[in-house]
Amino acid sequence: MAISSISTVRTNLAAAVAVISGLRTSATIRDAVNPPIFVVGAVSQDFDETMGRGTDALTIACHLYVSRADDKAGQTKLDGYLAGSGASSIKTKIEADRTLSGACATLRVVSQAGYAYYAIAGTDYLGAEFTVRVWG
Amino acid sequence: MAIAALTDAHIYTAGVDLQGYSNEVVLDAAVEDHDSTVFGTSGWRSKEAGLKEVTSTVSGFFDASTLDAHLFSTFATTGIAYSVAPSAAADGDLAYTTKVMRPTYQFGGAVGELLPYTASVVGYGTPLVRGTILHPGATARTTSGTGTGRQLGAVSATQKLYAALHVLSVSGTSTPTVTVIIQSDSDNTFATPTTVLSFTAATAVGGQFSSVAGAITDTWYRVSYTISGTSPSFTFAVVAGVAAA
Repeated sequence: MAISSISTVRTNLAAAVAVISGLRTSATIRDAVNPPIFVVGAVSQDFDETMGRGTDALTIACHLYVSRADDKAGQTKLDGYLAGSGASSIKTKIEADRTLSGACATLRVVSQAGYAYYAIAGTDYLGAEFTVRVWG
Repeated sequence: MAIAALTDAHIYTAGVDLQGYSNEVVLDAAVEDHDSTVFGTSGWRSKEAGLKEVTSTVSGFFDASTLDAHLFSTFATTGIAYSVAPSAAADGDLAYTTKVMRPTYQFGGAVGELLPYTASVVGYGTPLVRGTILHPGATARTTSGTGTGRQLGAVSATQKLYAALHVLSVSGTSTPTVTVIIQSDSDNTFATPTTVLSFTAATAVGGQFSSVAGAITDTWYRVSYTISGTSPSFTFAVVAGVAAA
């Protein structure tokens, strides 16, 4: 199964996370955000993973932002989303359907890093970065 | 042909094309060398060629259905028709073909990675033939017809015309059947074609490897295929070439 389109992958990634109660999502990089929000970000690609343009691999950097108004509450909220399992686990929700409703052959949430403060449009947010690898 | 990056290859093993599952293919021809050094060679060794051997290794990503079913079922099997084209395998492209035995098949990797596979084959008493694609595997056929003529050259009395047929897909009802033959003629008009090689009629996915001994004075060759059944459709690849008998 080939990757249908990068846009579709983005949209379906955001939709997969949107099932988490209380978490907003965006399929595209935003100039301003309303936390808590999961944003599907920059894409890089490895072409020709198999012969004849059979498979490409996308590496997608996704960001999660929560409010830093209350630093302790913000970190607690963020930690819930970063968990490897559970109702708020972003990894679990993304990997619930590894084909993203047919947009790709398979995927894996490879890692989470960058637990830090991010400045967007002059406002600081607490956040983290997920690396998602998508094949198709 | 200019040098080019390898972005496509077709590896036909019996009735399966491993292209879509694979990202690496190696075709290795080797010959035993025997020391024949004697005095009077100015201090230089001399080697003579002995037995030849062909091996091929393909690797890529595991697929639980088509790939695994074929590679496991042909493990330790002899006489498999095997062809490798380092290209899109279009009509007229270069391809190597031979008969093989599959001694290894393995899959497995580290957690989190796409599950990789590797499979190898070794030659089975048949020359490795540098051939030409007489019919591309990507073109579906629903009615009888002929392929494009290709000039493979004459076949001497010490040579053979070798050919492989890889039937890759079959659909239809009332026992869809494709019968493939190779015809020769003295020129590209095929005004008076001669059947030089006939494959067994195929009703299912699979591969065949055949040969015919020279001498054949004709230099042009093409496939002719007869298709029967109700709403039949076949995809098949044919590779042919001339090599020592």
